[in-house]
Amino acid sequence: MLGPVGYLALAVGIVVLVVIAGSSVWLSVRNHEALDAAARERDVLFTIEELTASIERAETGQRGFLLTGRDAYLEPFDRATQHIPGLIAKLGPEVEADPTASRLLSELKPVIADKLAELRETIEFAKAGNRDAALDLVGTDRGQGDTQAIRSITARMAQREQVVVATQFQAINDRGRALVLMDTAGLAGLVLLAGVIAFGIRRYVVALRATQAELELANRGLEANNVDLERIVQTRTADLVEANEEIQRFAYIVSHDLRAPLVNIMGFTSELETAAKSLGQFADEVDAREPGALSSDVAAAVDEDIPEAIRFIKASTSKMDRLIGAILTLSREGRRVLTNERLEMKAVLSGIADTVRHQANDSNAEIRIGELPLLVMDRIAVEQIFGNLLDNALKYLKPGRAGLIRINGRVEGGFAVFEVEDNGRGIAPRDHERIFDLFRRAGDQSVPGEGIGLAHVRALVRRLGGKVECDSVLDRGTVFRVHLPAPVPQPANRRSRSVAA
Amino acid sequence: MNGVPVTILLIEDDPGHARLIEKNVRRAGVSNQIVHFLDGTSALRYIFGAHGGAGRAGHAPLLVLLDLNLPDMTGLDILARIKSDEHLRRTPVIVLTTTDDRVEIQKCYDLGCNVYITKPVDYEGFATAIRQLGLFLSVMQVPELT
Repeated sequence: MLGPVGYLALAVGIVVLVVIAGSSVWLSVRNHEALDAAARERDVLFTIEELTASIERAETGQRGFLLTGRDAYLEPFDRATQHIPGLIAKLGPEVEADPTASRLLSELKPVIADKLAELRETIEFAKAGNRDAALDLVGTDRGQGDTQAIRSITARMAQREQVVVATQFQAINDRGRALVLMDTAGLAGLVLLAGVIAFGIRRYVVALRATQAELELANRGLEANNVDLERIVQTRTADLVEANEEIQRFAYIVSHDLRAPLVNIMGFTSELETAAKSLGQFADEVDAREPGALSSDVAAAVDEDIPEAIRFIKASTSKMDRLIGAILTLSREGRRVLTNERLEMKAVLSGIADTVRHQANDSNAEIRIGELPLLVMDRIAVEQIFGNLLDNALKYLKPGRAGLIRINGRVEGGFAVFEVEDNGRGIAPRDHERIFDLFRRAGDQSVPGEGIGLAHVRALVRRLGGKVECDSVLDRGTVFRVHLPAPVPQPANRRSRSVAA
Repeated sequence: MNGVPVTILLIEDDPGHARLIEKNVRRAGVSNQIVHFLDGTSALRYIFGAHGGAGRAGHAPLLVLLDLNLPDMTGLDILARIKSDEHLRRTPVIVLTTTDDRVEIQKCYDLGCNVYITKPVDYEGFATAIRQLGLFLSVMQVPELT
């Protein structure tokens, strides 16, 4: 949605913002520390001022006492002198970090001590009544020098502290300005980032809406297609069902209507046969009574031609009758209502094998039935299918070889697959499809048959929703493979079983 | 058929079948008059005449041998007409047809058919069946028309 450039911009924006925010925090912390430091320096300045003030107050008290001799002046002197050592002690740790300030402090300490000692000496003289000695001491340069030294040193100290404080304030100022700049930049960055994000979201939403619209359109198209497809399938299915029914009806009507004339042909042929017999008897009688009275043509007609013709007519009509019967059976099978039931196929096939046992014994054949999958289907149809296949296998065994028919099964992709395998005479590849056609037979026609069994098998298997195919090697044997839909597991049963468990 | 001469009405569209039936019935020793119709319309005209079932009162009682496949109607129509007629409903009707369809057989008995016979296709069977039918007819009692 955003594109690579968009994502890069977003990433860079976020990194820049994080850096700005981090720097701001760092600057704020530094400024806070610097402010603390500046406050301490100011305290140092105050302390220095108070120190000078205290020394001056002590001196003022001494002068007052020396001039008046009144003890009242001693009180400020005492207070100031008591206060001074505390102030000096307080300065100590404050200036420790600054070598210049430390040096100045160490210079100041002895001067102050000397000054205070001088003041105390004069007061001691005055108390002892030696006022002149006191005044002499005042008159010396000692006190004056000390005072000047104190002033000079404290002034330098104050100056020093002021420089430090000014530097610190400058730094704070600079950092403050940087902070403002940074925050402004951050704000701008934020606005920019918000813009990028808003733009991205907008594009994303637009794209999303477009996709949604496309999807909806596609869905509607699909639905329409589905409806169309369903309609087409329904129409075609209906057409197929109708066509199938038409064929069934056609087969039924044709076979019935073909039978009516056939009955006549067969009937009158029989009548003819009876009549011909009478005629033959009459001819025999005439011949016996009056040999030579019958011409050789009449004798041949009565003795050979008529019986031969009748024989052929009868053979053909009975064959036609069987064929019509087969069509009728097939069409009837197609119309029969199927009733599904659970079929234990091993038992079903054992039952079928029993019905052909006699035939199997006659041809010295063995039938082996393996494990077979279960079916839920119409019993009659299934029995017909496997009955025909077994019958077929027994019928077309290789003469002179002990027959072995094996029936095996498995479930494969929703289908139960059954294999009826024989070691019979086999079917040539070109006949593998043909054998399933009605009235078509393959190979040596020594075994009687109409070519109906396998056609019936295929029709039934198709009706049950499966397929049948054939694998065969001539002279080696044949495998008929029947695929039938495997029963769908019943969800209701499974549930009840799980409840029981 | 004892006493009253019964007329056998043969309704059969196939002249060959009709002839074979007649031959075999005769062979069983049945000598009653056999009237043959090739279609339903003329058969119905004969049965009901201008005056319906009542018109046949006093005439010879009928025994109907009926084929179901007729060119102009199905034998079921004729069966229904006879069995729903006040005067003719006791007339024995023997359905003699090629169909052995279960539904068709049921329908015929539902309509009041007395006997349903499927024509055997092989001629031996056919001839035997008809001869047996003839023997059956020769001992059968038919009510008089009222």
